[in-house]
Amino acid sequence: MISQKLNDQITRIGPATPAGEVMRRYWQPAALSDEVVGADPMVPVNLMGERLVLLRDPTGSFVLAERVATADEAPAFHPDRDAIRLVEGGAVYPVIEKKGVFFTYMGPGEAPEFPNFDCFRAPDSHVFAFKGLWECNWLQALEVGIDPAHASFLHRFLQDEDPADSYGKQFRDKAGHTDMPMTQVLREYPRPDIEVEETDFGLKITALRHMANDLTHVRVTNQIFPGAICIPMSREMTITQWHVPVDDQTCYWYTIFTSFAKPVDKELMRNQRLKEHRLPDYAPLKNRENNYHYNPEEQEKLTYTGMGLDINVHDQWAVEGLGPIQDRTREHLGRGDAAIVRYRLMLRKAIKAVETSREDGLLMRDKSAAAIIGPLSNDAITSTGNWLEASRQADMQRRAECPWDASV
Amino acid sequence: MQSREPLPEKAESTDLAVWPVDGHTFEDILDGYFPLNESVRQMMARHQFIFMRISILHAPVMNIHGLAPTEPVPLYLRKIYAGMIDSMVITAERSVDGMQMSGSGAWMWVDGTEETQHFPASTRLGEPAFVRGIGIRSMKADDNLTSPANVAILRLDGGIAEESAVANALSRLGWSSGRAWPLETDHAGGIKRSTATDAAHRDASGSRLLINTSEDQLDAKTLELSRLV
Repeated sequence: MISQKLNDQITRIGPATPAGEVMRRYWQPAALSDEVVGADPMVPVNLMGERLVLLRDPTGSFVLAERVATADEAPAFHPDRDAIRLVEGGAVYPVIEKKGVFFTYMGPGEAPEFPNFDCFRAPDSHVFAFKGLWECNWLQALEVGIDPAHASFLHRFLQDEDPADSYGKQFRDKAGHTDMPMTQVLREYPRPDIEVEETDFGLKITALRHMANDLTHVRVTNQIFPGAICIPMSREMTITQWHVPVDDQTCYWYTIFTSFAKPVDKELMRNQRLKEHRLPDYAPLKNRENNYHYNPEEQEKLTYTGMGLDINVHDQWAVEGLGPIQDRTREHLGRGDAAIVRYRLMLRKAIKAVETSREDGLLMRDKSAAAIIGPLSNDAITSTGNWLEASRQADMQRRAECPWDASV
Repeated sequence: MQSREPLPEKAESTDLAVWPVDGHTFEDILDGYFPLNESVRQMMARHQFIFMRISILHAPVMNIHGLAPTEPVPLYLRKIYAGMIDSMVITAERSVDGMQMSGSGAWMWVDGTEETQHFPASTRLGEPAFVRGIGIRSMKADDNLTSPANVAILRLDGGIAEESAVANALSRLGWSSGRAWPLETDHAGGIKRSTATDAAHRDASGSRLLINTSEDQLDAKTLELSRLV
């Protein structure tokens, strides 16, 4: 229960807004490499409340330049190439392409170094990037991702799929080294203990599901400040996902899938996701207008939501259902929301630091950011008394067997 | 009326006394929506502390006029009641009739003009707040320590400068470094707005709460927390 004014402070991202000024001090995903076609591309980009276009400058380098737009444009509007006009003397932002994503820096001064996360260290063959549009504020999109308990409800599957059919899908693999499907773990142990630690990149969030026979399922996820998460997808892959504001009421998720084993089957993973999204704006085909394809029969027999097997749709429904900007004057958080509480503290600290020009304390803004590696992110089933070390060892083993240098 | 265990008498041959106690640094989530003193009381009960010092940063608050302390919060918050704690240190001590709380801090009200010098007692946190702190379960000397003490009490009489007294105390405890705060609390004063002169008014006598920050004694996690509280 916070006031509308305090809610505006942490949600609104236009120029000169408190949260917007924090977000602008970090590299933000702007477009997928898959969107850039031909030698002279012009890709509309709608980001942080600004209307931009991704193109090459006279030196051949990619930049984001301000384009002419009307006030009634849809948030994710994609004008035809012939209709794009640049604003003379308008803003121009630097761009870097990394692992299938164009990142841009829209803040003052020098851009920070990129941290050396796994998704940036892995070779191109072992990463795959995709994105999707959600019609809601970026913060509620992020906060569902740092709530480790939600998966046991929102992504509950009433039947377990053969893990052999799990490639490229979240929560469909076996749990740790066991034959137990992740769907069964999430379903049967819905109330995890949650531990949250501050790190040099954000938060490490550990969910402990205490099972029978003195075993514990340990799931380590991460919040990467300001707007990203890094979570396990399967034993083979992790997901690094940014929640990027288009404007105050619309956002994109950008995900880099990172494989610690075989090269990624990019064609399969892209085709899996294109069945659920339209181009060019990557809007989901299941949405509020068609009630997310809700099927009560499916809900009775197969899934908690009745909205199909793609967990992105479950999350989309949950966060869009809160409204364009979640009304936090009606919110009641508990201690189970520990990661959300810790995240908002970090965000408010950062807002204060920027407002008072004391930016030295902002995470990942100095040269040392380039030395940040990892983060550790995995599922493991261990003996309860040794979960911390066993979880770490499981991640170390995966890294040791990795064909690229994933050492930490 | 307070029930604090009496502090041990000062040794006659010295001008200070110091002893380790059953206490530790901690991190926790302070529940929201209850009156702040009730949230603090519940936290103390969870940890079985008789004394606690916590710090809160950037925490939304609400002060709902006319809402009795035992009443639940309404379903949604009207904007006129909201504010933000920028920073606050609270000390709380178990007493016969529950708990006594005092402290100092900086706070603001978003739309109101209630810039009082005292934090209204009816204030509730607008959402749960992350806190770090130090808690003590007994003021008596802890003779059953199986690992290096993390918390100790230092008693001064004003005859020796605090800096020297703390250094002496750390030496007696075998700590290579530590931090100190006043142990006494002004429960009658409630939570006051911080001023620039607060530190200068620290009483030269009385007791201090000491925590161990010795790199050679503490595990990494305890050491980090001891430096952060």
